[in-house]
Formats: sequence, structure tokens, C-alpha cells
Amino acid sequence: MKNATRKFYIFLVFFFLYAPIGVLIVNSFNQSKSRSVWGGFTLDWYSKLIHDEMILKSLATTLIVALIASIISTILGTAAAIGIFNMKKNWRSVVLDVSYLPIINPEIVTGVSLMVLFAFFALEKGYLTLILAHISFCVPYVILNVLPKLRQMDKHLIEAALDLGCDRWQAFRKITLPEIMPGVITGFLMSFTYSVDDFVISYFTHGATSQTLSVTIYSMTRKKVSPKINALSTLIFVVVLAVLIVVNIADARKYSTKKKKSSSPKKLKKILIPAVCILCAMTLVIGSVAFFTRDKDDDESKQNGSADASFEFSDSVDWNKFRNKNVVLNVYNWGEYISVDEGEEGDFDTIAQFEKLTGIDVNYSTFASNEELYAKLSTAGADAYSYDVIIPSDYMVGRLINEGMLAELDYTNIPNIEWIGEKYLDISSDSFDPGNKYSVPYTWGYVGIIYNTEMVDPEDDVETWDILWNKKYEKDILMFNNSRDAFAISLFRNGCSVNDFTEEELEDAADELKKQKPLVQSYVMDEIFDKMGGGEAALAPYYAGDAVTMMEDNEDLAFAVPKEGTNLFIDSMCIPKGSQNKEAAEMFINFMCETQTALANIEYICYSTPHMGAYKELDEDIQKDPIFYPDFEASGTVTESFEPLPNNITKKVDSLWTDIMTNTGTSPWLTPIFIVAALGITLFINIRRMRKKKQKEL
Amino acid sequence: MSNSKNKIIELKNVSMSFKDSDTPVLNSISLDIYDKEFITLLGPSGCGKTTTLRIIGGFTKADSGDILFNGKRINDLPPYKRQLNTVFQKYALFPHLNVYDNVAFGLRIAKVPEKEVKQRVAAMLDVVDLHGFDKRSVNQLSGGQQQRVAIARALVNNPKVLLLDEPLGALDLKLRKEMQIELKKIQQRLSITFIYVTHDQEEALTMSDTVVVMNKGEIQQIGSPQDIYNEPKNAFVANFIGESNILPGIMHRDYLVEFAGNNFDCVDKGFDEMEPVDVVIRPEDITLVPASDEVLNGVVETVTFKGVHYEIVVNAYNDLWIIHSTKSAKVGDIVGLSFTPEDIHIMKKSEMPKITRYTIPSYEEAGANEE
Repeated sequence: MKNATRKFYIFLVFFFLYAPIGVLIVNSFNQSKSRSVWGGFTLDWYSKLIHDEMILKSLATTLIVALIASIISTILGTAAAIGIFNMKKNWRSVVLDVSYLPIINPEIVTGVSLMVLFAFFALEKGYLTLILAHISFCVPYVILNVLPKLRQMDKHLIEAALDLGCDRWQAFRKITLPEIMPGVITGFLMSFTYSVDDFVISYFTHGATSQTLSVTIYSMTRKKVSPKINALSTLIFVVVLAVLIVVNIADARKYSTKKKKSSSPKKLKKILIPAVCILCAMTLVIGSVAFFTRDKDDDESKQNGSADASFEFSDSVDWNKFRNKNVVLNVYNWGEYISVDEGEEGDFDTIAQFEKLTGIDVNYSTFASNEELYAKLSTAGADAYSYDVIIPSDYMVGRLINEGMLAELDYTNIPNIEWIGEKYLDISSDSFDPGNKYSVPYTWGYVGIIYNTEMVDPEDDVETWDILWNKKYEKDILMFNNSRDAFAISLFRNGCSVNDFTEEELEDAADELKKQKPLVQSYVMDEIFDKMGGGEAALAPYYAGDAVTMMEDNEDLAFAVPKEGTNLFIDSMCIPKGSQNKEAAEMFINFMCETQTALANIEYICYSTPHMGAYKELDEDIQKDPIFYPDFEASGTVTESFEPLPNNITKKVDSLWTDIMTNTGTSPWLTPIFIVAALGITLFINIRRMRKKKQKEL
Repeated sequence: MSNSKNKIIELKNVSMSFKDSDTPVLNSISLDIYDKEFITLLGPSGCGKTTTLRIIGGFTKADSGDILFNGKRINDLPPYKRQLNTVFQKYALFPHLNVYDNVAFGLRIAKVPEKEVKQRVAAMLDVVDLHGFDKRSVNQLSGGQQQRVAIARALVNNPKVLLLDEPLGALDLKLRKEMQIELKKIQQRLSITFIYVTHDQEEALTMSDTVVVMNKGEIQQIGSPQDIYNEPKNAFVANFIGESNILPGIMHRDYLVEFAGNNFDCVDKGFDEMEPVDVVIRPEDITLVPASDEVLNGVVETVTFKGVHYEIVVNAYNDLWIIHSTKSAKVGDIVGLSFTPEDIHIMKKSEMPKITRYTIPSYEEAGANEE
């Protein structure tokens, strides 16, 4: 009995530890994009992963940065540890505390301060800044691991070496170094792990050329993390597992051959060194493969200047204008928002095609939200990033225009503008870019209601936002978890504008949201995919294009456009004022407006296109699909795009939103009680410790 | 030591003190060390003997004074340029190297051809009786074996002088006795200078040609073991070298001394008349006899069995006397103490306060105080 509970407990522990990894591995073989629906076994994600240059390049960046940063930190950290060890006692504790500070310091603070520092020295964000940042937080881990080894070491060993004829350097190399080697290696491994692991600091210090894997994955969250990442994570996990198994086997073998156990550092070294070697070799192989395969293709075509024969482009501009002029463009886009080669016949690799056609090099990096883009452009100074092409959404375009951060476009360089539908140019001119001076629409979409036909009463009218307030569906409703989108729904429902509203209207909308709250199962964004796909909720607002993707996975789902009106968004291509290669950037925008390119991109992204040429090339059922291309005029549905709100209104919206979100049913006392309890426990522990100390002294 | 031999190391007025302390560790030490002699620095913990050794080895710098090696000043020479090797207190063997590599370490640093290294290491392992241990990890060796490796590692370099810093301190009594004999043998076989540091007077007397007794940073006496034992220059030496009964006395004239309420004949002379002196009588020189008027009488206070002999403490004339006797006595018995004029050693009153055996800090106590 006792044994059974014990076993159950162990099972529970391992279950909690490994269930997430198990789910991830299973999902990496799941045909369906949804994480909660099993669509059959497939290796597609792995083959797509191998072809996705964006992911591979950021993996290479991650590994290369980790390797360089951890090697440098190991050298610096070891030297620092030896220096600290030989210091006078008082100095030592001071220096030690100072060098541990980066560990205690919240990462966010480290990240922001590094970003500010780099901006202050006008360092362009890239490999250098990333590596410097990683070194700064890795060094303490090396010191932390080396110092105890130095303390353990018999200091007479050095004297013995000197006595036997070594000079100081020889003594260090032949005696100190082998003695502290286990600490050095552990420090190296920890540095490497932390560097690969790091997101927060990388997020603030990476640049257009050096996006790490964690940042790339994060930027995918707007649409939904691609299952390719499951495949990648599975591969990484398997590699780590393999290293562990090899190490353990080596360890076990050592134990069986040498029964007498000795704690000599030699043994540790014998295990750790292969581990380090495997890790480094792996890094180098993956890194270089990912890094060089792409460049090789490029170089070949760049020389002879011919684009892939299977794709044709217009002669709208002289594509060869910048060939062989070493022009580099930094393009900053949403995650998973451009067509890439996924290894299937006819896949269109936008960036590679552009590079082949024009001979211009592109550094492509990704962001997760308009706000992230804005922060990158404004706080650290546009110079630090030097993006040439960015693709923000409507209201952010408006905000950037208002703040004078965008460059006016020269349409003689973008003749393909003629393909963009009049309708879309009008919407953008009306709401955020008067006269279409600064932006060219890339995609558009709108918010509707996705619902589960099995769960929603057919009698109920789903073509209204009211359905999200229907008590029948208590705890079956999902809601957006950001203020602007949530308020938009409430405002539309009340028949108000989402850009031009009075304070009263805003407060009314807030009251309605408060009333809705008890009915809401959870406030989410990306998880709507899984929750709706898995039938966990009945109703949710979401974007039309994504809704179609969900409906492919789950036949019970359907989509409705609320008649009160809805938010239509446009993501547009712009050029920041700091761009050094404006004409080349315009060439890139022109390329994006090629029918071939626009078609490939819209098929990849699964949103709606403003490009009339691409639209005509689409399958007829998609052209006529009421979800992708609804006839708002015929149905009389009001659509509005977000415009930038004045600062004071934004603040008001945010504070009302915070109020709604924090006004929970649970006791407001919970937080203070928790804090008091924590303080009490700390106090208790300290008093006990002091008492013990006193007793000891007595 | 006769002056016919060559001086190999000379210390001239060497002083040294730690930065954060006023009391000097070494107070103007001068010492000549001769070629091929076995010299021992002996004294209680904190007397400066190890510091002296470290200054000779080059690990510590003297504040003032000179260190000469074969007549050349080597004050500023780093350890690796000095023609001497050291056996450290806790051996300081390199844990990541096996026995062979430990011993070969110095030769390899000196870039001796590997073939010669092999011969010399093998020969040296034979000398220290570790033949066949080449491939063993040093962590797997016993204390005595580690000690031998340390000695081999130092000696394989053919040093002119070998420094040994309490090398036997960590061994058990039996092993220590064996190693003492062995070390002496090795020293004689290789005929090089050994400078040996210990706090164990018996060890010093067993092995040394010359003993240097030190206390509080000063040299108390230099001499052969016999000299040191039989003719201690002051109460400290007398007490440190074996146990002694030290009594205040007055020298009436040559060959007559008064102590313990009586006048005794003695063999010493050359003191002023009525000069206060210290009288030393070794415990083993006193014989217990039946109480009588002929001898000094006292009451037995304690009796302790020590294996070879009994240690008997007798209260006579308000002084506690220690007597080593093969015969036991009963506590409370009145006994007589008998000794001959040759057993009485007269010493000048030392400047330091009177030391009795009960106030000499033992090694352990001193160690604890340091912490």
C-alpha cells in the first residue's frame, strides 16, 4: 500500500515534468495545425522545418552566439575568478558581490539597460551587441563555478609547482587549470545553456541581422506558433537526451571498471569533456549548415543574375539597378507573414527570389506586435536598428506618420501600386494615411465571430455581437485579451465608432464589458485556435483568415460577420525615415506588389489581399468566399479601421481595461493576505535562525 | 658542526613580520647551514620555523636581512630558480596526475629527455620503496605512500638542499618512527642537505646533525642533539627538549648551588657569587629512594603509567617534581629523591618569565589559538 502511493507519487512527479514535452513531441507529428485535434501522423513539419530559412538562420544565430559568448565568458570568468580569489579579503567580497549582480538583477533591467547603453554608444544592433550582452550575463555563472574549485584547491599545489621549476604561467597551466577544469567546464556549459535559453535580454539587444530562435518564436505568436517549432523543439530535446545518455553510459562504464570510487577531478573531466565536444560539434555543424546552405544558392544566382525560371516577374522597374553594389536591406515583418520555401514543389521563397532577382541582400527579422515594432523604432533611436522596410498595421502607420517617423514614398519606383485595389487605397487614405503618401497595403482582414455549430443553438442569431453577451453560453465564450480589440467589439455593439467616441460612450462600453465578464471563459488571443479547435468553447471573436484555417481542422466550426459593424485591419508596407537605402527599399515594396509575389504571400498567410492581380489568380471559390472577400456594401455592414487614438484617450482605455480585468470576483484581500503571509514566514525563519545562533554562542 | 665544511645557506639578520601585526614573526635570525648536514628547525607552533623555511624556499619574502646560497644573495630569486626542493606538510601532490607523472613533473619542466626521465623516476621510486606504483592515482595511496611520493618528487630533481616542512605530521606514530629512520637513511645515501622543520623534539633529536631551537621568532640555541639535550642554554630549551624539572636556585660559588632548601654539589662553574640561576634536573635522572635525611623528601601526588615508565609527580619543598621511574609508587607515600651532581644542570636565569612545563603551549593549543 505504502509502496503503491510512493510509486504513484513518483509517477506524478515525472508526469508533471515530462507531460509537456510529451505533448510537444506528439504534436510535432500531428497533421493538424491545431494543438488539440489529431489530424493524423505526418513528418511534414520536419520537412518544412528543414526548408524554413528564417527558423534555421535564427537557430544558427542562437548557436553561434551561444558558442562565441560562452567561450569568451569562460575565459573572462576564469580569469576573473582567479583574480578575485587572490584579492584581499575585504576587496574580494565587494568585487564578488558586484560581479554576481547581473544574476540577481532582473533580466528585463539588464536587457533594457544594455539596449540604452548600446544606443548611447551608437552601436548598431547586430551580432556584436548580442554577443556582448550574452557575455555580460554569462560571466558570473563561470565565476560562480570556478571560484569554489579554487577554494577547494590546496594552495600549496601552486607552491609545489613553483618549487619544481614552473614559472607562474606554467604553474597555472599545468596545475591550476587542470584542478579547476571541472568548474570551468561546468561554467562553460551553463553559459552555453543560459545563452541559448535567453529571451528577454536577446529581445532587447538583437538587431536586424541577428535574431535568435527565442525571439523568432515569440514573433510568431500573432498568428499562432507554427508546428515547425514543435518539430524543432523535439529535435533539440532529442539531441540533449542523446548527450545525457552518452554521458551516463560513459559514467556507468567508468564505475564498473573502477570499483574503488574516487572523487578525482579527472573522472569528472572525462565525462564533461566529451559532452562539451559533442555540444560544440553539434553547434558548429548545425550552425554552419544553416548558415552556408542559403548563401551558396544566393552567390551562384547573384553572379549570373537570373531569377528562378519557374517564376516570372514584370519589367516594371530595372531590377538590376543595385546588383553588385553590396546593398543590404533590413526588412522587419510580423512572424510567419511572408511566403517561405517549405520544401514542396512550387513553394515561393519571397526573400530568396528577391535576392536572386535584384542582387540585393536582405536581413529579414520579425516582430510580434505593433507595439514591439514601435518600441524598437522609437526608444533606442531608429539609427540603432536601421530598418528599411517595415509592415505595421493601420493605426500604427498613422501613429508613425504623426510622429514623423516614416519616409514619403516615391511611387515612380513602385509602379506596381497600380495593382492595389482602389477600395483599399481609399480605406487607408481615409483612416490613417491621407493621400497614401507613406504606405502600401500588404494584407487586410477583419474580425468576426467563430462559433461551434454543435454548441450554439441554431435558433440564436450569430450575426451580432450580442451573442457574446448571451447568458446561455456562460463560460463558453472567449474574448480578446487586449484593450483596443475588446473595446472595439463593445463599441460596435453599442453602435458607436471605434475611433471617434465620447467619454460616455467609452464608459458605457466598459460597463458592458464588465457585464460580459462572468460569461467569459477566458481572455486569450492565440489560444483561440486551440480552444475553438478542440471544442472547449462555443464562441469567440477572431480574424477571418485564421477562422478559415480553424474550420479546416474542425468541421463543426463556422464564421459569422456581425451586422453592427466590425474592425477591418490593413497591414501596410512603409519605409522608416532612417533608411539608408530608400530606393532599394522601394524596389522591395514594388517586388512585394508583383502579382506572383502577392499571390504566393496571400496563399501562405491566408488573409485577404488588396492586390487585384493576385486576387484574380486565386481559386474561384476563394474569390467568392464570403469569409475572405465579403461584400460589406451589399450586407450593409459598417467596417472601420483603427486610427491612432490621442494619448489621453489611450490612457483612459487602458485604465478602464485594467479596471475590468482586475475587478475579479475573488476577494480583494487575497493579495495583501498573501504578502503578509510571505512576510510572516520570512520573519519566522529569520527569528528562528537568530535564536539558534544565539544558542550556539551561549 | 665543524667549520671545515662549506656553508651552503646563510641567513643574515633576517626579519619578517606580517602586515597587520606588530609582533615580528622573525626577529633578526642569523643561521649558517652546512653542506650535507641534516639540520632541524625545532620549536612550538608560531615560533617562526616554517616561515624561515619558506623564506629559504622563496615562497615568502623577508622584510630585511639577506639569504645567501653558496655565497650568492638569493633574496629576490623566485622559487623555480633556486636549487632546492621542498616536501610540503600535506605533501601537495598533484591530484590529477598519477604517481609516475607526479614524480616526473619537475624533470619534464626542466625538459629532461623522456628516456632519462623514465630512468630517474624509476630509480627514485626504488629509493622510496614505491616500485610498481607508477600508474596509481595519488588519491588511492595511504598517507605513508603519499609521503614517499612527495619525497621522491622533490629528490628526483637532484636538489642541493631538500626542505621538509613537518613532513611526518600527518602519519601515525608507528609509521612516523619508520619514516624517521628511512629519511635519515635517504639523506645519508644521497648526501645532500636536509632542512627539516618539526615541533616534535624527539623527531629532531633522532634524525638531526644540528638542531636549531626557536621560540617567538628568535633562535634559542643551535647545537648537536646531545648538546641541546644535555646542556640547554635556557629554561625554554630545557623544557622544550624533553620534560624537565626547573627550579629557582642560587649559585653560592663554583660547584655549589642552593635550591629546594638545601645546598647541593654540582659540576658547573663560572657564575657570580650568589647569582640567581635556574636549576634543571631531568625526570629520568631522579631515582626514588626510601625517605631519609640524606636526600630530599616529598609526598607522591599522582602516578601515571606511561608504558615504558611511570610518571610520578612528587611535592617536595613546595615544588612539583616530575620523576620517570620504572617502579611505581603509591599516592600519599613519602619518598626520597636522589640524584648525583652530574644530573644537575645550572643555567643563567632566562630573561623571559619562568616557564614551567604547564605553561608551554602544546602544539594543538597553539593551533587552536591561531584560528
